[in-house]
Amino acid sequence: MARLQDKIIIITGGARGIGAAFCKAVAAEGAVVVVSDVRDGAGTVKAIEAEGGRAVFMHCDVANSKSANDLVSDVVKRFGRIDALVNNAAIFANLQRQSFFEIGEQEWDDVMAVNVRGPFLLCKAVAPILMKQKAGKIVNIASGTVFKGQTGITHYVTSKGAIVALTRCVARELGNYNINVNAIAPGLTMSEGVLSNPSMTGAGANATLNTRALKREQQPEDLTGALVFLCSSDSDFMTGQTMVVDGGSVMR
Amino acid sequence: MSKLFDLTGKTAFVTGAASGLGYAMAEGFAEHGALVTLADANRAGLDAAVAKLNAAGHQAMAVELDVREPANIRTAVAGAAKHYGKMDIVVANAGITGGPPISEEAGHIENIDLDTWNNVVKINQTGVFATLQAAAAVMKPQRSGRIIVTASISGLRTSEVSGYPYTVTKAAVAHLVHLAAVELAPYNILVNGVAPGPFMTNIADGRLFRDPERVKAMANSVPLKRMADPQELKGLALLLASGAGSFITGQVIPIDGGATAL
Repeated sequence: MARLQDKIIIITGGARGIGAAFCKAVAAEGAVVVVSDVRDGAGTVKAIEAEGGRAVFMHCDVANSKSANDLVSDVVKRFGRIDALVNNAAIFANLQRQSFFEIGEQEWDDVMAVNVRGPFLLCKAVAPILMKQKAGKIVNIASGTVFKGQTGITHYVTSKGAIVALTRCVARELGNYNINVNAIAPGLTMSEGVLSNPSMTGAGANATLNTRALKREQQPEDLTGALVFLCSSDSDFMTGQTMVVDGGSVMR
Repeated sequence: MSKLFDLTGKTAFVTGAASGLGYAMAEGFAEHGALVTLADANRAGLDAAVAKLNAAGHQAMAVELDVREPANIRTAVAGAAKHYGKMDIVVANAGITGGPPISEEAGHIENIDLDTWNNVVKINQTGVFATLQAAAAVMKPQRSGRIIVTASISGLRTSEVSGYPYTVTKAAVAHLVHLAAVELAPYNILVNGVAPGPFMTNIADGRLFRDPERVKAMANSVPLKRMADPQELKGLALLLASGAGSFITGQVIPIDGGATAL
């Protein structure tokens, strides 16, 4: 029996990288996936359909409240309910490593807009739906860097720290409605975006790899088990948690 | 269909498996295809548990085991590994509450007698350590394995309803998970803990089932406003035991209705 049969799951940032791997993984477990992105997500939809899965693409700029609200209302209009929201969209792979004092205000604000305001807006947009259903899952994507204070990407690490905090707050507020809110904290993952950015690979990536108990590169597929678990009824008693999936670099 | 959580052909050994969380984890593994060995000091409960699994079409066997006897743990784990030709998953779950909470006078620090303390340490801490020793001894030569420790949220943060021996031993095994994860990673052995919050188990001789007021208070203390059935631990244990958790190690994961929100 598939673990997510007929579940309606929205995954932001689903056009590529970890998000695309998430979309494929939940589709393989029987879910109907709403692939959402500012980029074109047709490739992810096609890949899922080729495996016999079900997916649709819906455009969304998570940093924009109208766009976030439209996504949620379009999904409800089309499918009648929402079983899970995965807040995966984030600015990361295109960043250049730099000292914190070199990060400009605009770049800081851009990262915060997508990485923090985006998940906040989508949590706000889906909450009334999930509360009415008295059921639902929100999975936020944080980062293992929060627990290490990784240098070079201070805006990103700070934004993901906010996601850990957001997860805890929203979990406490929605617990009474049988809504689970959890986060996954990945390590540096070799998505196509990361691989195409020399600033993210090379020496920095090797240093990260060496901090792990399991000394190998992390792949997007390493994260899919935790995601399926947190989207499924298997995690019904878990909420407010940030689960680190990083090969044993951070241990909590 | 995805095989992410499949355990077909895997072998598992679970201590404290006659009832409660240990039984639920063993059953969860069996439902996903694993051959399970249930270990417990309670012979009658153990036989009933194994009979129930086998009646459901699973493959389960029983080993009577008191984790206060470390040499017996080694013999039991090695014996099960020899029987099946390998040991993929070991769960160090056996534990007791041991002593009243600090909210009661008998639980105040000056009133805890050392016999109580030593007995809890023997079961919850030395017993878990010895189970990890036994697991590592069979898994290192295999160069693969999964170890799961039943910790507790009591070991992660303090609470008035926890007692000294339980809290301190559960904190110890949580950190044991971290250290063992580092040492065993080169052998492709992953070590993680589950840290349950309020579950309805027969811990402390079934106290919870006789005390509805306490149950109500415990339920209301967590954001999800309820207690959990032991069945609800199956999924997390399965994640940590299966291919779905192949890049998770050194984590102690609370499953507590949001009590800790770590």
